[in-house]
Amino acid sequence: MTQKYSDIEIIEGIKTGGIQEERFLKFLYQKNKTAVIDLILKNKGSLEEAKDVYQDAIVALYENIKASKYRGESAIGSYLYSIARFIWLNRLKRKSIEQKVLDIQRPTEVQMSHLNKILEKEQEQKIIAIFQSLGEQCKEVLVYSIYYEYSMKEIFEKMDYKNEQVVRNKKSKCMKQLKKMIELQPEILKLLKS
Amino acid sequence: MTNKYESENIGTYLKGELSGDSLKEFERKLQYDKSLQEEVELEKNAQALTKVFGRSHLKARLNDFEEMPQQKVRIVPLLRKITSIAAAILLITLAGYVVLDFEKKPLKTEAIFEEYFEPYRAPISIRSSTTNANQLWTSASEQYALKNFEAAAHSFGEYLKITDSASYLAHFYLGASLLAQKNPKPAVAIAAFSKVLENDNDYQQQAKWHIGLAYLKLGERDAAIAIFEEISESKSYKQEAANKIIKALK
Repeated sequence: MTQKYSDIEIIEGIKTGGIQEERFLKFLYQKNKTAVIDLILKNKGSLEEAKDVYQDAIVALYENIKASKYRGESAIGSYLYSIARFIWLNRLKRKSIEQKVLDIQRPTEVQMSHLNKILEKEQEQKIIAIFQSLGEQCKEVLVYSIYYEYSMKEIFEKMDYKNEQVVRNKKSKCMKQLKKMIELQPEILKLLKS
Repeated sequence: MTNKYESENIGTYLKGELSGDSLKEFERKLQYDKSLQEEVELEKNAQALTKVFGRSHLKARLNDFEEMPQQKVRIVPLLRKITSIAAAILLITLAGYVVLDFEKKPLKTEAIFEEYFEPYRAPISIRSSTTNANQLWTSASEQYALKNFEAAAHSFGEYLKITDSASYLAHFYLGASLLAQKNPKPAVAIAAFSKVLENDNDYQQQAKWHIGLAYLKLGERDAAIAIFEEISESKSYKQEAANKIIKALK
């Protein structure tokens, strides 16, 4: 990795979004990984848990930048570190509650706390499956326009559509499909966490 | 049932971008129109679901920054071949403008190139903190958009020099400019596109396609077939066109 970016460039790059945000995301991810992984490993975490926490922290930072909740008031590395620390402490708290529950040996509560973890993963997989069933193009058009907030022009360039109107039409069709799924299976909405 | 105008306004309303009389009118209707209320709720839920999925999608993208994804194992051996062939061709071309004699159907490959090549879309402007770089990029983009591909190639080259960057975008458009010129420079274009293949980014598929086209221009039939077969197997960008080219070449 030869190109380096300042905190301002990273924030600006992600806030601007679009195709070019990739390089800022990549730099951010690779630059700050070691510190967070070390934190988790030194605090009873495995490498897998450390990577998972780090990725959750990056997602949280990404969304905070997009929503202008973080504008560079503190160094981006420190901010990211504190998000990761917060996520990990919460997970540790949950683990120690489970441990206490195990010690007291109340099978129903043990089952419930383990079940919650499994349910979270299942919910994530269900949501992924819903979008997979829409087809690759719909999945990409929807996620790039709604989550990443790409413009129609950027999606048109990224996904090699004929023109912006074609992208608009595609997005409209895909949204209709998704809404139809929600209408036919309203239990899908339970997958949305508050 | 909401009409098309109202459907379009729902998205704008939820983004907080509806204003003035349009906003007043929309909110007034929302108060009594049950069907509109349901549509707004449905749109909200669909967007919320997409945002939850978006997090998984972003996490998967972050995984790509960790290590080479599996399909790259297929690219790397070919990348070495491309790089070594490109380097050899480049050396010979720079040493004295020797015209290479390709034995296998140069005219046919050239005809296929002419049939399938078209200049890639012009780049969008990218912000940079370095004023000179920003100006060079803007100039290069504008030249490209005006189809002054020689000037665009020069500007993209200069941009790469002063930013000293591994910018895949600049390498891609340098290659695209070189290939779109009146007198294309396919060998140098291949070298530029090869840089795009070195790291994971959004232009790899397009770069591969253009490398295939550049080989056609060079008359390198076998190398072109190898690339288009990769594109065909990966079911990616320009898969259909790749299939047709393979049929035409074989």
